[in-house]
Amino acid sequence: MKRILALLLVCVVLANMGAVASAEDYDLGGDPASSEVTVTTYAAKLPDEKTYYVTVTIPSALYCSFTYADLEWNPSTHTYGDSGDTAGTWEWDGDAPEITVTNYSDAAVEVSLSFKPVTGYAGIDMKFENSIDSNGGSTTLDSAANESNPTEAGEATSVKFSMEMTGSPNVELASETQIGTVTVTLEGVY
Amino acid sequence: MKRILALLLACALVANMGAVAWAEEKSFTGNDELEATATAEVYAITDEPPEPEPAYYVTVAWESMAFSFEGANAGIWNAGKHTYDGAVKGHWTGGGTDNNSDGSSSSKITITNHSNVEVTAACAYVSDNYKSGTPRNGVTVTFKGLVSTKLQAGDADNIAGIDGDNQTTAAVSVSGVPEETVTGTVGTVTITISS
Repeated sequence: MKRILALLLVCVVLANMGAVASAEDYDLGGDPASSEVTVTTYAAKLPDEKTYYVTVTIPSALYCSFTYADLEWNPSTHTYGDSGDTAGTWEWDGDAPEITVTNYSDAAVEVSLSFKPVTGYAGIDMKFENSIDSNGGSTTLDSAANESNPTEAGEATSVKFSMEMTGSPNVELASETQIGTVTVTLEGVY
Repeated sequence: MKRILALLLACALVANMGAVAWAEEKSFTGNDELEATATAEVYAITDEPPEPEPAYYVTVAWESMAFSFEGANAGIWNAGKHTYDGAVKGHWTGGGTDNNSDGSSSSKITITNHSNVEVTAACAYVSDNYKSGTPRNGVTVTFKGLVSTKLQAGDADNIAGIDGDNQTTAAVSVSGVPEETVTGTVGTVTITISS
């Protein structure tokens, strides 16, 4: 019976200690009026695994029209028109389309746009510009994480792409015809 | 009646909309890696390509057609060798390619089509006295050229037309040793271009 009571008492004492550190006195010797204080700092530990979340706002389809220019034959170049002339002009149906890519990830994302003409329309191409740099159809979106202070909120990064049709179909497209496809490619950088 | 009007109005609005594209937001997620694509089809409509009007531009480049004969020069007698130093055989000069090895001289005529359509070029040489290939007074005038040939439209990748199917050449050569001094026209070359 005494043994059981002693065991219970030990348990109660241990339970009451909790996480409270007990103060202890040490006899360090030397001058009791000064002691060295050492502080060690550690960089904030970021998670090893990155989480990607990217949104792409893209038109369901792009519609445009092409008006042929009436160019004169140039016997010096064996082509129609002078240097810098184009076979015609492209115009978007309505406002010029845009593609917006936003990166909410805690890692950078490479974004690249490309245009592939449908077979038979190899003379058509598309030119891209982006709102971040002069690399046209490709750029890199920085991580949205606040890497210097991970506990503080970061900021999503975003890029807008504008598009311009170039070249010529060289045929008549009497009705709306698919001439190509724009592809946005996202690739995580890690 | 109001319903019918409303329906008609709706139909009219839809008809005016044409092909309308709307932007849609697509989300892409990934754990530790991301490889994704989003696509949009591109549609176009055009007017009728203009029918190009024929534009003719043909060049005929003539090398010199004035030939002259330089008689043989015996050179200077070399008493030590019993030969003439600097002796030169009689030969023709003045053409585009002087001093052919056989003493003849020849000139070329180059016809190049820079038009946007095919043309026909005809080359002819006419002479009463010096018929092509027939020696007269020791002189032979030879004309070489296609009677008629089609020249294709100008090629943007071959502006000069060299060895191209938009170019042809003819040539006049004079050879032999004249038996008498003659000054004048030996013949006439005519180039005719037709569409």
